[in-house]
Amino acid sequence: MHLYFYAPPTTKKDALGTYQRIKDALASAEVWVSTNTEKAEIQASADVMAVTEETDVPILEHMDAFIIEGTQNDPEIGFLLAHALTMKKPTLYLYRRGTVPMIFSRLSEKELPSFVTVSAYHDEAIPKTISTFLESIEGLAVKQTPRIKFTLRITRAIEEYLHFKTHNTKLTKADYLRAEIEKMMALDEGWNEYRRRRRTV
Amino acid sequence: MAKGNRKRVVILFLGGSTIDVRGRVGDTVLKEKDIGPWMEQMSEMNLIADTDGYFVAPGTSVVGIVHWQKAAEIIRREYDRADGFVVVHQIETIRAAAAAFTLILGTIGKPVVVVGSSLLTVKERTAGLIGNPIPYGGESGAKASIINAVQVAISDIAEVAVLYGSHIYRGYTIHRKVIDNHWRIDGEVLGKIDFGIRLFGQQVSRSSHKLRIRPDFDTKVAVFEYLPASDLGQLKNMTRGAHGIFLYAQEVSAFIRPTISTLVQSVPATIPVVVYTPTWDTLEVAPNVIPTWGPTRTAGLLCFMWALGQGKTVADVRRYIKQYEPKRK
Repeated sequence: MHLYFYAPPTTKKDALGTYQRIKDALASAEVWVSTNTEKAEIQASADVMAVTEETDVPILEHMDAFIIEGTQNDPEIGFLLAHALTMKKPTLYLYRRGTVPMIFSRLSEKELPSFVTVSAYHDEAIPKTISTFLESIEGLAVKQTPRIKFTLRITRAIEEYLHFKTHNTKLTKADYLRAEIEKMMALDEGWNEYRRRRRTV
Repeated sequence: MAKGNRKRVVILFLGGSTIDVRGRVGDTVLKEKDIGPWMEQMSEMNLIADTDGYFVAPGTSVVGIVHWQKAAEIIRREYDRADGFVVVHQIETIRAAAAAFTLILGTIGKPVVVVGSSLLTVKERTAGLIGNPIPYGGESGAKASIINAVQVAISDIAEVAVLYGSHIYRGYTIHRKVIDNHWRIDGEVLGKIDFGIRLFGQQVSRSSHKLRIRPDFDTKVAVFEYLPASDLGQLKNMTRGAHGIFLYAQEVSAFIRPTISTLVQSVPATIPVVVYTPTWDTLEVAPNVIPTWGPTRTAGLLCFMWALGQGKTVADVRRYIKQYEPKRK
């Protein structure tokens, strides 16, 4: 899983301390973390960089989840949240307990989709908050957004079969094929072993 | 401008607005009353800025000069009250649109970001649109592009820019390039979308420059491509009644100079003849011949039509064209 952690740039020691706590909590989990809180050039995994170059799709759209420290008002946060909502990416919005986060000036709690978690924190609770969020999204298949166009010529018989399987359902033929391929991927032991090896390299 | 710290972005619709191929209400904007449902589906934009939408054209037929003029008038009217503009545009004609907006709007102090979805509803396909056969895409990609455009529209940029894929291009410079049998847009890159909007410092920055639009085009231009087999007599017939002649030659041959000379003799000296070809600087064979090149044939033709709309004399037209000619390397 590839996660983006954003926090508004600051020189305040207490805020920087909080950012470090969040990063420490993420470091102990098996996630690739890109963040703006370290170097000016935000790092991403080689896989994500390669796909971004090949497809010309913005790197943000390849992130699986977002964590946003939103105590301070920051224009980037609105942009990230807009992307998270558009792409239906699990998002943890953190704000320091006792403050009013900017997110609620734009969306009420009722309007927040279920994949956005808004959590007031104090520093000691950060590790638990982060691990709870990560567990909640690792338990689900983190739904990737299909971005790569793949043209496939099929026979009339296959076309009829796809129509038979999707007619009067909410699925398009493309959705059905994607779901079937994802099932095959989940059951393919060779594939899963290959991915495990790749993550540990 | 929006109240308090809130930014305001005006969105103009000229086709290219499909965010879902199913063709439900709000999936695309084909008429004015589609704007409300579409904005509801794109409500995430409100996390970035206040947005107001204006309908210009459905995009189910060719979007052209008359639509760009109408859009420019809306921009002029809203200019003082907006922080930036997003032009959602039919993808097939986005390159021409970017050139036209650059010409009409001239020097601006705020961004005009042109973006288009490559998705098409059944209605749009039935109307004959083909979109853009790019090797990637999808509904969330279309929505994300518009989100990106709104963010660029509140950034420190003050020119006509095109957002395509993960890049922000200078609008006048965009052209098509073919990669692996698919075409993509390319041009002078002003910035990139990675984890946010990253501008490279080449863009014109915001200013308090007042907007003055120059929307007039003279479209009575005879356009043809020079080929060795061209019948000069036919070419001369085509120039009757034209206010200008646009001659395009991809390759310069030994015959082009005499061809231009013969053509020029058949038109009044007050009619500008633009010769669009790579070695343009060797072809000024008469005072009314204006050799030029780049960035694209479409931009060159539009610039000529626009220059004719602004200027009375060949000298005026030449001056306007040279203003937009890329610097020679």
